[in-house]
Amino acid sequence: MKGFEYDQVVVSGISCVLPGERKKTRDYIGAFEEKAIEKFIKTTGIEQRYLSNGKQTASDLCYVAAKRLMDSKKLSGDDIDALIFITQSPDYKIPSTAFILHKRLEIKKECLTFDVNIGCSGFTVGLTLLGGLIQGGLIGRALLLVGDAILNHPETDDLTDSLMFGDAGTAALLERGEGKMYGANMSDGTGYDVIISPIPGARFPGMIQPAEADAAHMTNDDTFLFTITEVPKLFKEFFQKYNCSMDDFDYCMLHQPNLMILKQIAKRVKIPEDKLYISLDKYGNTDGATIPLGIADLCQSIEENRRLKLVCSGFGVGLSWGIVAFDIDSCDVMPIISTDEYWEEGFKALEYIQQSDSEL
Amino acid sequence: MMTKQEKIESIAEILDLEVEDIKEDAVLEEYEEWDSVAILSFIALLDEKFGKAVKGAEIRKLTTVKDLMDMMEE
Repeated sequence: MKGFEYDQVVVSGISCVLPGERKKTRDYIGAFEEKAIEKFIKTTGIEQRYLSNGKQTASDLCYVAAKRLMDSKKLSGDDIDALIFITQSPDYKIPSTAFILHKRLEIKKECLTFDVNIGCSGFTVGLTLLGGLIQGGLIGRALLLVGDAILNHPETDDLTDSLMFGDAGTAALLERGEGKMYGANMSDGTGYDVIISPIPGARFPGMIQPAEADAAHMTNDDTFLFTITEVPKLFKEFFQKYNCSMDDFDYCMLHQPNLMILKQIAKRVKIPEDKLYISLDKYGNTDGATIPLGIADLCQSIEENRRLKLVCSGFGVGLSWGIVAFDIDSCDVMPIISTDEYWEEGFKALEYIQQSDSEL
Repeated sequence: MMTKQEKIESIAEILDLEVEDIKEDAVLEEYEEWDSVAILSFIALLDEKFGKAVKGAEIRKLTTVKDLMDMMEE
């Protein structure tokens, strides 16, 4: 592991937004057998999740998150040099949803703007990317937006698909300043099909994705084996490379897929119980949003400002996994809010398809 | 190295059953508890205790308790 190390990058704010609809796992007793639901809760730890109202997309949630973060920091669109939106649920196939956020947030033209199609490792990948641009002197301030809202959460007979995933939008502000950020990112493309949603893609032209296949197909056994072996291995290399241990961190913020995986990683990495932060009981697996959402959940419980030393690890689809460590002041993390807001103008895009149909 | 008794105890723990419920010649399918979660637990056990990375698809091919025990070797 070669890793990376920045010393001029500060995470100066985090803001997280949930959709308004809260679904408790036990509300599904009836649709599923009670025994199966109880076992699901015991194994996954997921007690409830928040779901989009059907009109809200991930960008709607991230918009609210970013707007309130900019307002609280008294920043305007002129102050943002880069905007990256990391999602698996973009508004449209083309263009990158980041441009819609660029418009809605009224950000200046000289701004590096694009989407990154990556899932559960989104936050750690995003910190690495934007942190690198700041460290390299290319930009001074950036918004890292990570969110997913999988519309039509499939209600199949598979509990995992139906009750595991929640929606959330997050925004983090990265700025040049005296601050250390270090870690490593790993990829293994041989596992590209362990978690996959193949349609619509250019590989299958003309095929329309059935609504029930909205979520990605996941081979649970292989995902499990990958996470419990590769993630602890990377932690070991990370601790060695940076000559540190869990003693040097206040909390370990792992991606939150399910409790069983978290316990296995914690056991192998020897993360003390009081340092392994768990938030999936309240929000479910929100893909790339789990880590910033966990940080916001943690900071809500801290009354006086405290400088937190965090080691974060995202892992999932790709396969992709990484670790990033940084410090943050708890007062820079905003309380979590929920919203039913969505962007009405976004629905007008359908007119372009209707227009081209009538031109034929 | 795990003794036969230790293997049976581990399997009982995975299935959340008593040791006396685990019979070496029992067919896995007959245990209601042998489900996707138990398979994940078995994957974790093989990795942790025997340093083996065994795919779920391989484990799903096993039919008896004895097959599980045979896999529990370094």
